[in-house]
Amino acid sequence: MDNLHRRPFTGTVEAPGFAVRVLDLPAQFYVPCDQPPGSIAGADTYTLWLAPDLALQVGGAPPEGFVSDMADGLVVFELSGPRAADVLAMGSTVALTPGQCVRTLFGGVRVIMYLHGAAMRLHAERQFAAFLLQWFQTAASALPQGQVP
Amino acid sequence: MTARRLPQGGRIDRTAPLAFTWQGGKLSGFAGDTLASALLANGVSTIGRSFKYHRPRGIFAAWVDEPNAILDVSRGDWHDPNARATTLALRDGMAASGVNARPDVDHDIYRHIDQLQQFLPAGFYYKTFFPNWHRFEPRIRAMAGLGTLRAIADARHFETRMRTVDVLVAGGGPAGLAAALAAASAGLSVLLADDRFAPGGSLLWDDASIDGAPGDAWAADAVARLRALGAAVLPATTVFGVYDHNTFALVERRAEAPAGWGEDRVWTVRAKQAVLAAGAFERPLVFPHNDRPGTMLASAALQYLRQYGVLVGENIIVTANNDSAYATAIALRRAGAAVSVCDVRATLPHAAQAAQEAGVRVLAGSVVLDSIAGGSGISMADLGPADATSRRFARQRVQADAILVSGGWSPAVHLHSQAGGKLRWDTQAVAFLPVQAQPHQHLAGAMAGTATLHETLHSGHAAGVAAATSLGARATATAPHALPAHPAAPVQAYWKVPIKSARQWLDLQNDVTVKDVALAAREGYTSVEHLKRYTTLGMATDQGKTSNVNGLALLAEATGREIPQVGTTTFRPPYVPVTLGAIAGMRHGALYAPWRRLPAHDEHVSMDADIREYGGWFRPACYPHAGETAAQAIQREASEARRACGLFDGSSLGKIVVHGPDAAEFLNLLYYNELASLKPGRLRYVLLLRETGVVYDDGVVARLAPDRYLLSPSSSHTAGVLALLEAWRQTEYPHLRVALHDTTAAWATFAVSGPRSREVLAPLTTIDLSPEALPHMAFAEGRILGVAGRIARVSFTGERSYELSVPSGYGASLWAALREAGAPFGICPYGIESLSVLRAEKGYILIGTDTDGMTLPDDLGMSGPLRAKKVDFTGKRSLLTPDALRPDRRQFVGLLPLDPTQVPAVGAHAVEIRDGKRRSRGWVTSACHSPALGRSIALGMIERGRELAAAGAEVELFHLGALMKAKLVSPVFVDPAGERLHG
Repeated sequence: MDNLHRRPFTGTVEAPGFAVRVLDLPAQFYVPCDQPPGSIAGADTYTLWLAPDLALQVGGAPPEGFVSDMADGLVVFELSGPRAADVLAMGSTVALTPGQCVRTLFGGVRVIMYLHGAAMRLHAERQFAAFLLQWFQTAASALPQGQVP
Repeated sequence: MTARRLPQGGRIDRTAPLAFTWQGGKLSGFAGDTLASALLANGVSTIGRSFKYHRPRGIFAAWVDEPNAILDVSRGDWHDPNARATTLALRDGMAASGVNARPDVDHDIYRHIDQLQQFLPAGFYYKTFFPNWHRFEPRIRAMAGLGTLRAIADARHFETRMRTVDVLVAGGGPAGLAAALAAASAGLSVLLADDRFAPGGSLLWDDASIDGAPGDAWAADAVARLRALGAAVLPATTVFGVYDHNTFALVERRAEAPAGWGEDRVWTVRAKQAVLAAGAFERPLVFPHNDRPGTMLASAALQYLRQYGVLVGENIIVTANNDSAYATAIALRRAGAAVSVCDVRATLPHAAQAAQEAGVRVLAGSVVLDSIAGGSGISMADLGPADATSRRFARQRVQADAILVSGGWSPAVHLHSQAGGKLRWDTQAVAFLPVQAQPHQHLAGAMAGTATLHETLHSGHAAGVAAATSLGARATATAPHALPAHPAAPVQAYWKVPIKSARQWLDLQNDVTVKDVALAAREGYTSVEHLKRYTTLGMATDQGKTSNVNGLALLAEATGREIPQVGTTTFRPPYVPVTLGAIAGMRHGALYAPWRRLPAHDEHVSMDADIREYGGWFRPACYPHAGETAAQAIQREASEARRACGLFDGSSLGKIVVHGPDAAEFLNLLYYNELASLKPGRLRYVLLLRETGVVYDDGVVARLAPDRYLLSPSSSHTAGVLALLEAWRQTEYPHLRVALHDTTAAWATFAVSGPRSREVLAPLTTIDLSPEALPHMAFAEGRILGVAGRIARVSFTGERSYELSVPSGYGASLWAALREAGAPFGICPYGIESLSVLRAEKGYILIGTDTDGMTLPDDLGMSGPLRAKKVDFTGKRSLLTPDALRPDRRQFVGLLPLDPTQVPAVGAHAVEIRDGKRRSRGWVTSACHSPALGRSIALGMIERGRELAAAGAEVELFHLGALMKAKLVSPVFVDPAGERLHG
């Protein structure tokens, strides 16, 4: 019998001034945390503060110690475009600032959110990925169809 | 009322006519009209029937305080059965009609109810129909109420918006604009919400000059300046609720929305500072028959004139106790109406002089004693002394087609009160005013008690500066300036005409009169909260904006108390009605809740699984074949799992990893069962208790390594168990070196169960599945079809079972592979309903189904750990209380119906007759037809159940009037020796 094959969650949303890509990030680990609440540490490989004593490392190799591999557990949505902020405002009160991450509810789903370059990233547990993708598709239809700001 | 559109004036666009209908008749208005102003402009006088007496009613106010003009309005697919015509922008093609009337408001067949009014006092329903309300309710409900919903689901989505701002300003009148300008000048993020179609508030209709510009021009310029400073200005947006942490709820009523979306949009705004500048409402001055069409608030008449170019009458009487009505009288006189003012004050104020100079007739110490019906409204009015106490008092009958009332002003303290702010009665303002602002909030303008525009502007500016200062910013704007006005003469408290025999209305929407308040007081309803509930005063959709203060003032009068002693009722959100659709936002249909999907969800769908929601997860209940019912599929799947092999998707089972050198000690302190002694590679079934000893969850714990455990809470309890563990870790045991990771999402888990399970799996994995290497309740890691995974030998079916886990990205692939590999052995996918049958046959409990908020471990027959466990654990003390040790507690048992073809209802009570009365001894918690036994079985919690089962006792099960006998037995119906499990 053939070996198992991996099927990452996929999907995209395209709307005037707004796009969502689902990223398959192969390195995501729950790791011990020694950084300030709400902070992002690092650059190419970075850690996001999640809770007391808990962070999410994105990229790189797993560190020593109490580590759980979450690559298959967390789906990453990358939101971009000038109207991404409008969509963000439909799902959360959070005002994102560079260098900070937020663990909050977005559209009723617990996510980890932060700015990543010119885009926004949301990490959500895999079981919610289909719901969130549909949520983004629906929200995109509420955006005005006129000229993109 | 003979209202008409004037040839010029107003803010309407006369180049943009709009067609609409009223009760089927074609009418027209203009862009910029409200539905109410357009109806008035077309001379429509009666727009509804009153709630209780079915009396004709006309438009009374001009904005959210309108009690009468609640109409059924539709346009295309859009329909609002209870639209407030005064706040609804007129649109081309609107169709409006009255509510609470048959066939229409002009020919209402229920109008004769008013003739029975003396038999319909406050409390009529309580006194007449209770305790047999249910007999009368259907008919009464059919007659009562407002509009009727169409039985069509609204398919539209409603957008929600959320924002965090430095300063939220609620209200875009002069105070709000001044506050926003000050805060925005400090460089802060400001959001100004104003419920009118354009900000400006009273500046849009009052004569005003600010900084040398007309009031309305200054308001428009202020909005432009705010936007230039980066502030968000939301017109047509009402702040309707205040919640914890300075969170505000707003509803924005957009003119247009994208296709498929509703116009209403609810905002959730978290504000670091908030300025409440909601203005004030004019109160009615109450007099006999003050509910007739043609009676209107004085300020409303001014708004209809200045905003919409509508003159509300030709012969207008204004009855007032304060100065503000004079400006209205002058404006109406200049617009061409004959106007008289009855001022209840014996000494005329300074404002009366200007009115007289403008041609307004002014009567001191005078009031309207009655209105005389004529046509569809008022034809005459009786004027007389304000202290008249009987109908026989000297009175002067004059022609009148409109009576305008002004009984003083009530600050709109609703938001302040919702935030927990206190109120005080101010005898000079004759109004309730806020005592002081709540933390992080500032009060401005009329709602804070300012009387002149000059004061209002300075109050708003000061509030904006204070908000900025609170955030460490400095406002650079200067206060806008209006010329100080001549001081107003004091308002005279005047709550009703002192004629007892006539009906005088307080609450027009709920038909509450002065007599109702007096009756309530006589019958002992002297608390304002009781008055409200007994008479329904202030309980209508206008929340008593025009009636509350008058009502409680009269309650004070009727009970010989002062108004502060009576107090006010509690203000609660929403300040204005908000549609449920707007509140739900996108949360309907497929987005109703954040449903969770299994990694192999698409595979289950492709198999036509009967997918249902269980604890937030979409899971297969069963997999019906073509032509098979769900019940048949469940029986087949359960049989196949025992006969050959079954395949179950258990990916939703929790997977919490507990890491750390103190993991064993930590878990031992929390779980009912001993876990420190558990050896690596082994599993243990465990209970987790609350401090009360009640069973919160069950599950299996695997020890992966000396410093690492894997907990498997039940699917719907995973988040709760994690939260509970985290709470203990962070508060009681912070010294223990432990980390908790919820890895549920990272793993897909499938159970292969049945006599042939080992044969199916052996070729697929590097893990030795022999009973010696992997006995029941053992655990191993290895490769499964080339992927690192793990297998737990654990069973919820009573058969030999293996739970395979791989990273969830491989879940769909593993599900397909197991089906393929199992095909030669007759593998049968089974759903959660089939699993429920299998576990019931084995007497395995389902938390929340077989247990409830009172179940202790011993009730389930699990007392061993309490006796054997040496260390303390959560809930232990509660298990030693007299109540926990009572011998007559309900205990978990099996039940065999004497008729094996009958399945008892879950929830059926085991009953006995004691002292001539039927009493419950417990109930059925699970029941099904057992394919293994070929008969019905049940599980239940029964008093002294184990003792009775050992004696072979029978019980009577009672459900919906029917009785069924059942024998109490052990809950383990299949393989009590566990041979199939361990084989």
